[in-house]
Amino acid sequence: MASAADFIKQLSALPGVSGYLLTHNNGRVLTHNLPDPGRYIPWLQQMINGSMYLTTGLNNEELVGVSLHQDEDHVIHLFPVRQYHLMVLQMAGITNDHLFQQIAALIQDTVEQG
Amino acid sequence: MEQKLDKLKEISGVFGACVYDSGQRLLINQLPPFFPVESLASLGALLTNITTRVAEKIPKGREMILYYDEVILIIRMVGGMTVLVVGEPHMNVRMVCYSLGLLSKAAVTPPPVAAANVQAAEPASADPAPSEIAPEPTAGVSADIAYVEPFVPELKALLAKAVGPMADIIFDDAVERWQRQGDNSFERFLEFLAIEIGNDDQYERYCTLIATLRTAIEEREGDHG
Repeated sequence: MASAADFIKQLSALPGVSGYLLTHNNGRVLTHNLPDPGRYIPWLQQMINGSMYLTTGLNNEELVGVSLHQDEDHVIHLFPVRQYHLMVLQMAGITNDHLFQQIAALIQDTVEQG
Repeated sequence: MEQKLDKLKEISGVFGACVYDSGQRLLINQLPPFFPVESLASLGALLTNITTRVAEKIPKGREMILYYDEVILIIRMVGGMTVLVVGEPHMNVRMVCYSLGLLSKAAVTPPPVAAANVQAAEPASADPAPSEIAPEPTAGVSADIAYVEPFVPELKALLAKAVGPMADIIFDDAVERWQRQGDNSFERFLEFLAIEIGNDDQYERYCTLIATLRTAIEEREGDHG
């Protein structure tokens, strides 16, 4: 697996990324650039665990990630990355409809296969 | 509501949709039979749990899109109910979100007044509570805007060329709004349609497509003036 620093460097270079938080799934923060990461940690865990659990009654699909869209075109992307949780904030004003897919590909290339 | 949800299935990659009420009960199920009803019913509580979590951090949240390896779920609150759209990984997510936005807007739009009252100058009644769902649009147009009726199929067909598969819903919503106020001019209808389309490029394209038809409609409008 690539180092967290390498991964974050590539993540930050993607157009539209304005914030990130990478935690261990036990809540321990690995890296972030948010003013108040503690505000998001339990929520991030609950959201990813809840999303993973959502399809247990259907086909028990593996979660790739979640995008939460807001009225002002801000988007929050959440990803399970092995034993880690990643949250990425997408700023309004920079249109990048493919940011979710770009982050998912980055995870696949640098983390899962790296 | 069911009719509008059914239209979602015309969007590329969409399997279908279902709707849960605020009590987590499965109200409408338009998913294919290979989605077990029991599983869908039990999903209600899980959806409520997760949408509550979202609302904690994102009070102005719109869609929640969950990407799995073989399926995508899109969740949106519409008038106090939870709409769940299920599709393939290559589903046209953008079009689904746009359609759910229209559905959400329709859910808080006041119901149309009776046809007999359309020509009255009185304003429409007060907005219903946000949790109310507006009735289905009328199939045709009421008497005072009947001069447009012969042109409706062609107007809708051309709208589909400009905005895609949601044309019927957009058109019917614009007609509803047009019927609720006193000005029955075609120009006024186009103003409502522009609002419903919500995209300047698409609206301009539509105006170009209907240029000849518009002349004919306005001539007929003048005759009925």
